[in-house]
Amino acid sequence: MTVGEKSGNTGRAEVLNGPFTTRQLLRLDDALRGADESTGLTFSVYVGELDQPVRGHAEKLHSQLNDPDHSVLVAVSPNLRVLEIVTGHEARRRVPDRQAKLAALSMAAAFSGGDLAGGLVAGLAQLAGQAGKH
Amino acid sequence: MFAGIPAAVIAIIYGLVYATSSASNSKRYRPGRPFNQSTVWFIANTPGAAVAGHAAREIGAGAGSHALSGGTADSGATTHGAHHHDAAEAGHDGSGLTTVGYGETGGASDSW
Repeated sequence: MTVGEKSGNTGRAEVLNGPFTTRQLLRLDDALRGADESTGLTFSVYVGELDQPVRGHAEKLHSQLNDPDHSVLVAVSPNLRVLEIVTGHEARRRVPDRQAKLAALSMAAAFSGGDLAGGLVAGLAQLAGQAGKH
Repeated sequence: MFAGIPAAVIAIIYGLVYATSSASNSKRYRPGRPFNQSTVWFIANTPGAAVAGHAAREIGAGAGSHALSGGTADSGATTHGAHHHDAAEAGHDGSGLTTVGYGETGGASDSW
């Protein structure tokens, strides 16, 4: 589900113009749903342009989620070749910064090989595994 | 004939392979090359998972990253004060490999 789908069907068309194939979208959907259901946290993935400062922009996006305290945002800018993981106050207790860093490292390794979807799926699984069951 | 037919077969196979691969790889991200795909933002399709915020809704509504600029042109320090000041200071040291830890939010940054 894209964030934009809440506002109409145009979100569905927009996502098909995104960087992922249908198969990759299904993998991402599975990964996001599995992570949410197993941890009780809300995981979100943003892929696109990030303004400078990148961290500030990622935190602003994170703050727009419904429950930022229990949310984890993975923001990726392929053009800037940076990724940000933002954990809310409660989510940070479940996913310490050190573990988030490990997930970021594994994602960056996949991204450097051109595998956006694979890196995101692996990173989400790593973050969800660290957060544990709720 | 002995040269033309094999050459034609080779040309056809080459054309088919090239057309297929170029079509399937059109969305593939290649580090270092310009990335012109639409901005996407996903949350899990579960009840209660929603986004509050005008700019967020516009992302998937066709406006792409331009929609974000209205909401994030003043992102960072000016909007949320010290919270983002801390982020900017702790975030990047040039290597892109720092762990960020501060304030209300946590997480990590990386680059490739």
